[in-house]
Amino acid sequence: MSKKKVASNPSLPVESKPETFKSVDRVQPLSRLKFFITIVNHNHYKEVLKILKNHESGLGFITHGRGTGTKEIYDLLGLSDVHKDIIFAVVKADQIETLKKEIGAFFVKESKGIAFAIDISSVIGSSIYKYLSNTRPTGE
Amino acid sequence: MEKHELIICIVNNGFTDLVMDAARKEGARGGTIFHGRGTGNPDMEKFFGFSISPEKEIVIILVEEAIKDAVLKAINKAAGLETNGKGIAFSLPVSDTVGVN
Repeated sequence: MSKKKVASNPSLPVESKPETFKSVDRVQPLSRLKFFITIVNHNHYKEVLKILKNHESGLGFITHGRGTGTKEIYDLLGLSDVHKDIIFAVVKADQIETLKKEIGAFFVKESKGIAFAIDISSVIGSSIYKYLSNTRPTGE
Repeated sequence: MEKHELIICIVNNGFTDLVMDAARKEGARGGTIFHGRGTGNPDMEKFFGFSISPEKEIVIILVEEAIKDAVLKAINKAAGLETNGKGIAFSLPVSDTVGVN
């Protein structure tokens, strides 16, 4: 039952299809996209962008935010800096596992922070998909 | 590993403390605030003859899935549409998290 039955249209002559026609000359793997949000201390966005770039993420949107919470909780967690950088990026789902590891190592080593991913359900148009997934034609 | 939800709350400027206090009471640990600008109802501004400040603040809070409903309810009570905060809040499922334990 996994295969969908496609009803053939008898009115369309099968011979009209040119046999040599190739709609695509190249097959690109398709992968789901995720919206990846990273919150780090102020002025640490450059390192995060570098990590994202290593994982084929082409664009990042950075905004400034501030953390909430009482002073005691901040000192307890080591989050003494209230100013935060929020980085929004789109990454491919197959990159998420390695990206998580690398970001996690960055949080331990350099700056405390959190990061999370949200599934993207739809994208308008294949060109937008290519833009978001950073798919480039080979040879360019 | 517990599932998490991202709560996004948009309130008028200056009401984020109310939101965070309500959320923290229900077990949320911390949030992040950034600025935004509302775009609703330009006719209203003409009617009053002056521009109403559309400045908004957006609070994003990552919480465990189990306490999500309680946090949303508390936010609605503290800074919902019936209050001066005129806040809206919604949650999104988060698939992967780093740095939360």
